[in-house]
Amino acid sequence: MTALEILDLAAPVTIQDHGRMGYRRFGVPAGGAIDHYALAEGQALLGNTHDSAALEMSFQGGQFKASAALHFATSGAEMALAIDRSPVPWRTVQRIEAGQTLTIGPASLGNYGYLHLKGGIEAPVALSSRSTHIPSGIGWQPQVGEHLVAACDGECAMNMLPQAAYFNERVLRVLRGPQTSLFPDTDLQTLASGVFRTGFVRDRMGVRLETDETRFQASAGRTVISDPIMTGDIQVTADGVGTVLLADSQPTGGYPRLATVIGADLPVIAQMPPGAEFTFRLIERDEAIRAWRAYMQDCNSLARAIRPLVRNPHDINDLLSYDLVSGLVRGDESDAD
Amino acid sequence: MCASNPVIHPLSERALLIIFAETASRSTTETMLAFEHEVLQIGGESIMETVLALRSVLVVFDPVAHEAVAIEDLCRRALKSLKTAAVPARKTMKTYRLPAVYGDTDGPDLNEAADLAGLTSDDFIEQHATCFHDVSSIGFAPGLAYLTGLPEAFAIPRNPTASKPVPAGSLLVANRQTVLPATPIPTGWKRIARTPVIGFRLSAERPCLLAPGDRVTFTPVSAAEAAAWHPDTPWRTLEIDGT
Repeated sequence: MTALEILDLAAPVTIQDHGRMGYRRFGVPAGGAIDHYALAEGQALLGNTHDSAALEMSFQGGQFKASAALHFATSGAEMALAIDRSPVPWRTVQRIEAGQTLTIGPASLGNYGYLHLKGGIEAPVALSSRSTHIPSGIGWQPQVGEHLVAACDGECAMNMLPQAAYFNERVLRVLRGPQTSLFPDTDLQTLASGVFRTGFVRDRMGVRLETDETRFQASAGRTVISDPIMTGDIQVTADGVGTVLLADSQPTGGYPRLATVIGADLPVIAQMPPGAEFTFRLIERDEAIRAWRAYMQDCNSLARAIRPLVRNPHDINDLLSYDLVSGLVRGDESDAD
Repeated sequence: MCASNPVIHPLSERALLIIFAETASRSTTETMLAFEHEVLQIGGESIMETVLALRSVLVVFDPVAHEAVAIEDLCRRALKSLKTAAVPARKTMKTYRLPAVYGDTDGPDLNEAADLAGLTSDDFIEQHATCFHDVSSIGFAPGLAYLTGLPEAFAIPRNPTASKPVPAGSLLVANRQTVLPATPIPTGWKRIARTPVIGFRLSAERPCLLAPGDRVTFTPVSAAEAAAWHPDTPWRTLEIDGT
């Protein structure tokens, strides 16, 4: 069995894939990786299928021990990564030998990091997805002592992907929604012109917005009857504070929604660290659709963005243990060697 | 049919929200069910998901493969066909009778709720149990059903703050509605009873016992009877003739 035993977890983790499409009508959140782009990165690095699942870690990692040699990849928030205390770069494919320990430290850039195994991580499928939904107990929530099992293993190119630009993006594009007109015009102006910070209160359901601007006037919307929600909706609670709803948001809700963060910018808000300052930019639907198409094209062409991992000798603590002599060039190799 | 004209709103770049009425009603639910059926018939694969709520329907599509205006047009055609054709009553709508333990530890707010309704506890139970509640929507949490149709006396307020999570199967009452959660949820509604029937399971074919348009009525049972209820009891045995 090619598996990683979970020796330690610094924070609760979940299994996530593309989520549950079609079950929100039954009250089940869509779920899935909160940073869908990072999920696609790991799938591309390992050549996994579009429906494969990964381990999602929030802010913190853990420690894992390989029961047999296996390939893994990392993506999303940059976390300190080491195999048997030798640092290895993030967003790469790595091979770990049986008995070696993989240590993942806290995130230094972004919030949600992903650990992928070749073939995807095995987990029971519930309602067409392997995604864990902690509040309702759907799916598997890995615990210390349990194993992350690779659905398959085999040869794997040692590849890397460059860090995507969205980690440094500090403008979120928003669209008006069906309930925007319940708010006074000044609220939309505040949203479009004010400076906001991501709150420290956040989870997979949503992130609260902090600001020094005037609070939103939720009074008109307090009688709003429960309507379906889209991920990215900015709901305003009775205290006048906005919350951007994310992957695990409930399918319907009765709080009025001022605007909606566009789909292409959902990875941006997912990875924006607590306290980060940012602004909103109000756009029209045509621009949002163009942004979504470009985003999906980026996700689907990640396989072409992959580069071979070139190890920097400065990062290789085990260089002296390599048998360098037998690696001398004979002169008759083909370029593919 | 509902009196007002449904309005199509864009919601994000990937969905449309069609609002059918100001508030929930049985006729709105029936119109929305007919619309949902129609839009899936016409739209086929171009519709990724529909979500039916109390007075609105969400239509999710793939804006890479389809133009938003084409999906809007498709929704308009579905709405138009509702006006020209009589909406057939859905054969799938069912009526269920569920056992429920009222009061005591399963319904600690029963007496308070009865006081607020101006009824004795016995009258409150009698009226709540015998009512044919309409399933208006499934939402908020997996398998959670919104039931409407309670008389005016049941227009009792909810608490200003939410409680610790209440058990799955709790019957929660406020604003002439009953909420029936299938998972533990925090709530500010009055907890009056509990049914041993958990109307949600991890079955891709049929995750929920109840669907919008169905009706529900309750049989008061003792805590011992509820405890004897077997969780594997087939859902069809809960169906009754609702006519």
